Amino acid sequence: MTTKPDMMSDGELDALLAHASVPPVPLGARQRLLDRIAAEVAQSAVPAIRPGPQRARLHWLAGLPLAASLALGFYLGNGGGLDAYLPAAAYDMLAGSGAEGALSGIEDVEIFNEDDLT
Amino acid sequence: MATANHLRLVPAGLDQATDADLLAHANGRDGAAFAALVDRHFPVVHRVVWRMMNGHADAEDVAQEAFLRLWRDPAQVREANAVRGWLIRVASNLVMDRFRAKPMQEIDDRFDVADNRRTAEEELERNRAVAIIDAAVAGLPERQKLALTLVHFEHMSNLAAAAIMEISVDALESLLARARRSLKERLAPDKTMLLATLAAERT
Repeated sequence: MTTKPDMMSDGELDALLAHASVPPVPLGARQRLLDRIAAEVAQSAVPAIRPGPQRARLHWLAGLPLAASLALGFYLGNGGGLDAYLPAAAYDMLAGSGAEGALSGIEDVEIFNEDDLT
Repeated sequence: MATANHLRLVPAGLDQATDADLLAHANGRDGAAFAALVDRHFPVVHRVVWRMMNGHADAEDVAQEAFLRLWRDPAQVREANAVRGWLIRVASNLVMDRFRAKPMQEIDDRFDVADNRRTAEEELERNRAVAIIDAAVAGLPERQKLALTLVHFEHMSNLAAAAIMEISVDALESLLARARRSLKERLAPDKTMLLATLAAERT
């Protein structure tokens, strides 16, 4: 095997590498880095806004009128068909407790009103 | 809590502290201790990144990113006295990630300081010679370039460089041997001119 005439020795390579560019730290680089860190510190000092537990409870409370309205809609839409599910006391109170010919539904209320007016 | 003012002022005495001490303080959000770590290690991290990125202007950003990661979680450094190695490893991994996304070929910046003792022609010749050497180094594969940078340019021991690169000393020596062989092949055609130009500079 022959050695190429233009081949380089280790010493020659080291001599050349000694002249490679050596970058200085860019002007102001240290300060820019420290400013970035200071900015992160400042950012982490601001508390994050999160919904608290009270906010969550209010959310549920807001749903109650909607649920009641839905239940009333079902009741009225059934034309008295759901009376059997009402608690007896509430029913009596609404329809006139214990009276004979007690009202049994929306039609009876209309008849009652007509009788009362005549 | 650290403030911008704390970060700017490094109290006397911190420069005597070990990296482990500074890191422990930085872990407690001590900006002054962290600033001392920056003073101690930023130049070398920047030089390694600059060499790895072939002088790309983003070298400063990448070096900064390594330090920001240290600031965010100093506990990541398992060996407190090996902060420099940790920073260089993180920074070089960041560079390799960028290489995968977008190869960097050119050397953007020239930092040569004009030497009034040389004529303009000599200066031009010298700049050309340095550019050829830089380009030869820039053309090396990433890991060969990192090994050469740590051992040749940063004067680290093979053991320290191997630890930073997380490889065996044998593997590091193999990378170095391949890098040197490749550099010799690239520089051989211009050897006579380069040696003459750079030798003339010394006289």
